[in-house]
Amino acid sequence: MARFFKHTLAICCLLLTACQEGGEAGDLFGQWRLTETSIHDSQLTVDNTYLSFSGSIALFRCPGKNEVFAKFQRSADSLFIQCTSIYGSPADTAFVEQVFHMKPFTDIRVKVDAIGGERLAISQGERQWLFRKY
Amino acid sequence: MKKLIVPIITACLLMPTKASAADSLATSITYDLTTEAAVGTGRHTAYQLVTNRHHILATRPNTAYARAAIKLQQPITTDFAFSAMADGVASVHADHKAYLQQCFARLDFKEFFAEVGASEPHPAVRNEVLSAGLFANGTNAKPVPQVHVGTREFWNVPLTAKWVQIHFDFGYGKFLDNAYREAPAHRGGDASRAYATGAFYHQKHLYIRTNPTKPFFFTAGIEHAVQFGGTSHAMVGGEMQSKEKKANLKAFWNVILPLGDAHYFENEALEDWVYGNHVGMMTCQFGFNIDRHHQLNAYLDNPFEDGSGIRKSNGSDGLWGIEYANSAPGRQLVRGAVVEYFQSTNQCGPLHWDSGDYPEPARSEITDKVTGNDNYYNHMFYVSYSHYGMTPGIALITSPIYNTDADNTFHDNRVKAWHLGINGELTTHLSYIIKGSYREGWGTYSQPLTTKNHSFDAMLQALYRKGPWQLSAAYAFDRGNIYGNCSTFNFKISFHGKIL
Repeated sequence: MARFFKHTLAICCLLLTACQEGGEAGDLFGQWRLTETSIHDSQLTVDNTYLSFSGSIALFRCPGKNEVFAKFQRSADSLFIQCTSIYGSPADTAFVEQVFHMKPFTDIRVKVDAIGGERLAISQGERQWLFRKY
Repeated sequence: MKKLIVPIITACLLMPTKASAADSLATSITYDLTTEAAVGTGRHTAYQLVTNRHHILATRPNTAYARAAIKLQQPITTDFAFSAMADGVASVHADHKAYLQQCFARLDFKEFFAEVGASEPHPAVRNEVLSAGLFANGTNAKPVPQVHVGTREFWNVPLTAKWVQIHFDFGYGKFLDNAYREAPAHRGGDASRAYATGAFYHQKHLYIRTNPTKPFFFTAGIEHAVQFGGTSHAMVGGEMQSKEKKANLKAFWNVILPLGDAHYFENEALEDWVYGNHVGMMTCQFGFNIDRHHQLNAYLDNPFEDGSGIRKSNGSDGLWGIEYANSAPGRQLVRGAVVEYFQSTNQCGPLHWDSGDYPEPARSEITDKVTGNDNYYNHMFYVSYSHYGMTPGIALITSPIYNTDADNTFHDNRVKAWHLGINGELTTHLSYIIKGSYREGWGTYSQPLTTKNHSFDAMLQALYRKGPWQLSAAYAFDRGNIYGNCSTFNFKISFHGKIL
């Protein structure tokens, strides 16, 4: 009887860890708050903007203001993001390219410099972005 | 069935005149009188004094109530029994002034019951006094009136040699807080905010347990609650428009399982991709009998919202707990203890994308599907899973009644919390309860908090029982930015009397 319960417990533990929705995003999975973006030693602290990853879908979000969905693919430390404007609004393009400073809107290519624990660092040329898991 | 009603009622009326005190079919009429006051400082009555008490004590600070309940119990035969209760409350400086907390009629047959009305539910699993609560059908909100059937306790399934027991409940009811939801004061003071009224309620649970007297035993089960039907009121094009959902027989059938409308997008009914607002939990519990009187239980209550989470696709979300229970007779310094960790941050991921929700060309540009952002307890049609501002589920997800903008949605459903509880007896008449919770909250995925929420909430309570009297005194406090810094002293006196 004790062995039965040990086996049942082991199976339950396996099941519990096996089925995260959107887990195909790997260590990118989750919601990341943009804490800082910098270029040429010039730092800009940003507030209340988020980049989320789940499955093969990404979401740029400024709560209450703008949301832009995107497809993404990751290959080693390269990250490719293709945004979609649901209603074809120029504000969506401006949001991604001017608030996040990620461009061009439909073909963003960035490098994942570091990811671990609660921190994510990506870069595109001279520009860097720092995110914190939120 | 109709032919039986009159004879049964007649029998009930005649029984009291024919029963004697020694007769096992004697009528019993008892009453309970209670008065309770909570005084202190801060924006609210301290969290641990209010939580999981069916919203009997107000969240407002410096509040009091008087309560009178009368209960009739009438055995009809050795197997059948009828009972009824009326339980009224009058409060001062409270969320509600005067109301019926409970009013029900119930028929018991052996281990089964059928009940009509509003009664305070008691959890089939989880320590009602110490646990942080249940995700779907908890004890935190006022009772919802319903018609339901079920088992009173775990019932031995015949022909299983007591190896399989079940505990179930199944019912339909109606939420009564229409005026509360409609009041602009509970929509953040903004009459243009959406609200829903007239929602129906469906709940059920089923627990299956192996023989609990054996050294090891296992319990698995599911709880499920649904808001359905009703009318949503929302601003469309600058005008408040109402949209009604039918609560016909088909709807009552559809909500038993979280089914949906495959053509929801064409019907402009995004909320119908699953019909109704479904919340629930699946439980897995292992029990170990240390000896005849001492027991350990380890459990996981996994939450689900609509269909998400049922596949355990929500990471580590859930209530993870260990409970110690001591049923030894006499004074026991530790009668029970729980240690629980609650998490609701995953919610199956930070975003939800179904191309069917959007027009072309977006629908064709992103064809992959990700279901997530479960937004526990909030809903696009029913606004929130709440009753008079309190969640019927787990109170560690801060109820809308505490919102500083008085909005009736859950602002902070991504929570991580630790909870401890312990109780026992100091003397034959004096017992104690100590509870404490520490939680952090990140808001919701759609509206993250700019600053993380945190709160430490604790309570120390002493209870004195002698004969029909019960007195209790407690001190509780909150420290943090969820409820603010609150300190509350609480006093309660109860008397249990018998008329017949």
